[in-house]
Amino acid sequence: MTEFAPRVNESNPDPRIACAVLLDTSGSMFGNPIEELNKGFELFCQEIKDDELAAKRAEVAVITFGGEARLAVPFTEGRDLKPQPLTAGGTTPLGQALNLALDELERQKGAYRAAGLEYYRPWLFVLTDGRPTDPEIFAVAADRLRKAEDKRHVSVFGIGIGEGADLSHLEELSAQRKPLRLAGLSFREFFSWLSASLGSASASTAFGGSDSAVATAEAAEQIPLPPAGWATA
Amino acid sequence: MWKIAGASVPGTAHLAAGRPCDDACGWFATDGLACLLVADGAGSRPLSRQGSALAVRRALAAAQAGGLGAHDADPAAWMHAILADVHAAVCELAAGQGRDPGDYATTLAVIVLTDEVACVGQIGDAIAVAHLGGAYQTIAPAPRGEYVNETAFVTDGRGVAGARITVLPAGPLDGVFLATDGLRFKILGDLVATAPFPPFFDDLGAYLRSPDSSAEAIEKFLAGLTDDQSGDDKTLVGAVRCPGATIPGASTAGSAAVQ
Repeated sequence: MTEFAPRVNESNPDPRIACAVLLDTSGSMFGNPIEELNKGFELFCQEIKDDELAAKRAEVAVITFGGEARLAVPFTEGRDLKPQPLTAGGTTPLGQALNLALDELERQKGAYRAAGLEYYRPWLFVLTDGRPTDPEIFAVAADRLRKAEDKRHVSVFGIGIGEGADLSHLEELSAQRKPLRLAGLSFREFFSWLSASLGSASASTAFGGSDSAVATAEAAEQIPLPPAGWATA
Repeated sequence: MWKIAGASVPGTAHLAAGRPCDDACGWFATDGLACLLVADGAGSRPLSRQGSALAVRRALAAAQAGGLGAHDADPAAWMHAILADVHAAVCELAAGQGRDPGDYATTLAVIVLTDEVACVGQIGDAIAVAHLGGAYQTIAPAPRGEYVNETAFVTDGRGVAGARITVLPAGPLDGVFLATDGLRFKILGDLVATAPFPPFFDDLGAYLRSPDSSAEAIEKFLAGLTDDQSGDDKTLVGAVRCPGATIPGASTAGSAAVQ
């Protein structure tokens, strides 16, 4: 049998999965919590590079909300992510952070489409230990987020930090998924799980060139996520 | 005379999930009439594997049944009749099984080659490429974009009504190629424009013309292409004009027989 070994195109870009991580850096996170959070994110930056597909397909942005909502890390490919020490202080403007995240995700998806890149449904994670201090903005932003998820434009994951976290406002963020509670300060376990989950997503075929194509692809394949060992029952 | 070979293999994501290959393909070449086709069963539907296999088998039979000359008057209408026949066969199977035809959802792309024309019928997002006048061009690619609804299927009456049917003169045609969308990252030079990657088709055409080309070697290539960026099932069938080629018998490859 004569071997068939044609030249194939090696330069087409991979599909992308945009992941916005919203981190509470308000005053209540001061001390041990922010230190553990920083260690967790540092580990994440390393582990995501070790996953061949997630390193090039996942694009991660970090938005902090402590006193103000801030784009601490703009969308960056997994292989280029670098740890960035975060500090804690100020109020909890979660509503502003949600609006900023939704704006950034829409902008990023628009950039994918303009560049001809295919994409997975983006992920949005919210980690907080407190209540939003901008309740009016939060109510509108939460409604916007729920509607975006209902239209399959984003998948929302709410996570309360520690035993004392009030999950009621996180429940407002998604009609599809209940919030989980982080066991203690197990940020490292969470970020390790997030890296593995982005790896699982990156290995799936649930992507397409438009939101409708993504929805069709998702119908064919559920992305299997590893067990959330960092969450309390 | 046209020389044709091809294969379907399961995608890496399908293998990892323990899912079978939902793609199917087939072809035949006789003196004056040849046909090649690919079908991509929708992974979201429970019986799409049977759908793609049935679509291939039925379309091959319909193309052969017409025989030489049956399509000369109006090739496009004849192609539409083939696609409608496949749709009817799926509906009949579904009714017999107490199922919805959508459970068997599959795309279908068919190319029929006569001495006069190449008639291409497409429902869904397969990739059809013609080597015409020394250049490669994609034939009527599936529309893309935010406002495009779901992939069209031959198992859906609207899919048949919206089939993209293209008739090309056979004279300047050196080769035609069909692939399912699982290969798009590797065989397209421009994903947005659905433009072919010429080196791949140069190599495929040259291989098919070589005296000992085989479907097995194409299958081996596809199975070895693990970094295909799609993870999806992959199917490739090519036909090249090859004077003096021995006439192969009718062949089918790919998906399993209908249960």
